[in-house]
Amino acid sequence: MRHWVGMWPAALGLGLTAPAAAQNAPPAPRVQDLGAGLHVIFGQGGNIGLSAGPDGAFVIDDQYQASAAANLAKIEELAGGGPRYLINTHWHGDHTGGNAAFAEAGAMIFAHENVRRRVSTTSSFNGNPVPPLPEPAWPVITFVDGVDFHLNGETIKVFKVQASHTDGDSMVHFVEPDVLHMGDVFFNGLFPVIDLRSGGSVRGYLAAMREVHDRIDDDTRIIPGHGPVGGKADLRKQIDMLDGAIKAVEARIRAGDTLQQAVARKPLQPWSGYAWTVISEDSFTTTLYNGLKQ
Amino acid sequence: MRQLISTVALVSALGLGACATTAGDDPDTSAASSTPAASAPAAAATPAPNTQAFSRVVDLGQGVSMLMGQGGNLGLSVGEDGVFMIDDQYATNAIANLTKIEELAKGKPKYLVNTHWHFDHAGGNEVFAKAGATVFASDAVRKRLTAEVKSVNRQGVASEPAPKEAWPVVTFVDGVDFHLNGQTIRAIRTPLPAHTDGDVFVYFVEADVLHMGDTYMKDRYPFVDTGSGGTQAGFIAAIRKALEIARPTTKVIPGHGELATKADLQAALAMHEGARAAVQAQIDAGRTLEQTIAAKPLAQWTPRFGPAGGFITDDAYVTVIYNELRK
Repeated sequence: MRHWVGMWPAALGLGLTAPAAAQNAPPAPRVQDLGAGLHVIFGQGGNIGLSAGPDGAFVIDDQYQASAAANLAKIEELAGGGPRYLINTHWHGDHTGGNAAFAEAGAMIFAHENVRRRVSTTSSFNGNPVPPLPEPAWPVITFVDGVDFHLNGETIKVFKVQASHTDGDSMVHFVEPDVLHMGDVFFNGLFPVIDLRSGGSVRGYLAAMREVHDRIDDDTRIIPGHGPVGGKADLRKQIDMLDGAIKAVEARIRAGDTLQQAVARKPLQPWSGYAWTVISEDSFTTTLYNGLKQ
Repeated sequence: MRQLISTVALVSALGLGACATTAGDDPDTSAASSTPAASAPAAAATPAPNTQAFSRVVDLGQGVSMLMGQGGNLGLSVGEDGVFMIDDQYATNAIANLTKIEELAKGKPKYLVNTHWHFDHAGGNEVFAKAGATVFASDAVRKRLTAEVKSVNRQGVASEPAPKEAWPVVTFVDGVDFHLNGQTIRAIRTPLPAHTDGDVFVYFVEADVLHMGDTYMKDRYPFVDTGSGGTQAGFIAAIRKALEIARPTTKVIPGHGELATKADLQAALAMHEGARAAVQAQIDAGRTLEQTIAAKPLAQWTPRFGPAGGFITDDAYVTVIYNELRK
């Protein structure tokens, strides 16, 4: 498991965008136009959401420091200006690594209060210490339940969800075009990261996805934290996978397996297609086992 | 009742029913208030109403200050992270205020919080937003400025929407925290509608400064704007919550009036609670509104909170409490 942390930045980029070749330079951002001024920027790290319009660029997440310049240039190109408002869906470095560069470019950074707490102090990721980000990268405006933005002719609702991927996850709903950015509470078609050491919760993760599923419409479009843009049916599939995986690991716990025994039994074999560079079947079994034992 | 009637006339002349007086510290306002703002252009000899920039700066330490002039008291935080403001007074003095704040702060306002929607606190939104400020407020403030929820003044006239540029861009239900200029700045929604249904107060934790908006006006009976959803019970709840936050040393910026202390807030709470109980006693004794007013149930508080610097008389306050308790 230890190598996993070191792999994280490279692995996300490699796993999602540019197999093999992108060891050195970050991959060029790739853009999907969702209409009504909304875009998704895929690159290295979490998917970036962008609302561009007369009131300025509104951005969700900012990937890594190394990809910040390329992402800022792409935002400038799409929006005709730099980012004015930036939301961090959670504290992880593949979603907040660009904060300092984005703040320098004029972005006002908003996040749940636990995000600020974790990026302004030494946190831990998978047992390894993560040093604080430099102060200019810290969110300036924090909330507990959420905030609403009214700009570019849209209502944009930012709301905190229950402890799931971490204890500070927010989602962002563009109400009129009905597009929802779920942050890392949705890895579309991939085993998710559930960061138990940042207050994440296996059962909370499933419950949060179910709650979203029950609230959205059939034609709601979903920007996941990682993976392609999807819809309600994709979320349903992901819920069924996690529900099945939880039950499979619970069965091992009930049978009295140790973690090593549970992993060795390959309980997630039916869902092996969800494994990817960062989260293997075994590592997800480990997360579920540890999370369900909590 | 005579004073109450003239108050109604004054308020309706100003159009919206906001708390539009700082007569004690600003002679201009009372002069202006006697001229209906919306009618004839100002005579050449007298300045147009509410066009003057703030005239006093009260330094509260750590870059935080209170700015006093026409309309509600402004709060200001200046430092390396930018200019943060609470309220922006009138549309008519916004440019004058903006110019003076830029001189004082060496920069343009970046963050602006509305304590509530009234035109003597949020009237400058359009000017400040166009100058680059992001306006923050409770969801109810935005609904009243867009007129999605109409406000009704005491003559039953419904409000019109403010210009689109004046509408808050970021809204919240319970509150938000700002972390800038070395301060933790907490915008906190009142537990119940008080002065209006969208009130917030703002606490600068490190500087220990609390801006109360119009949930507190120093040594004045409150203006319960029932046409904007305000309630007297909300004043009690708001000041109780403020007292949980305030320390003995806290510097209290009232919506109107001079800088105050925690002890002043405690006195105001005692007055609100006492007034409510006194009016309830009249109701319990079977008195009509007229009889209750005539009984002068607020007599013991009027020397301190009566209309010397404010525009709500004891009779007006009794009326609001009576009507609320009889609902």
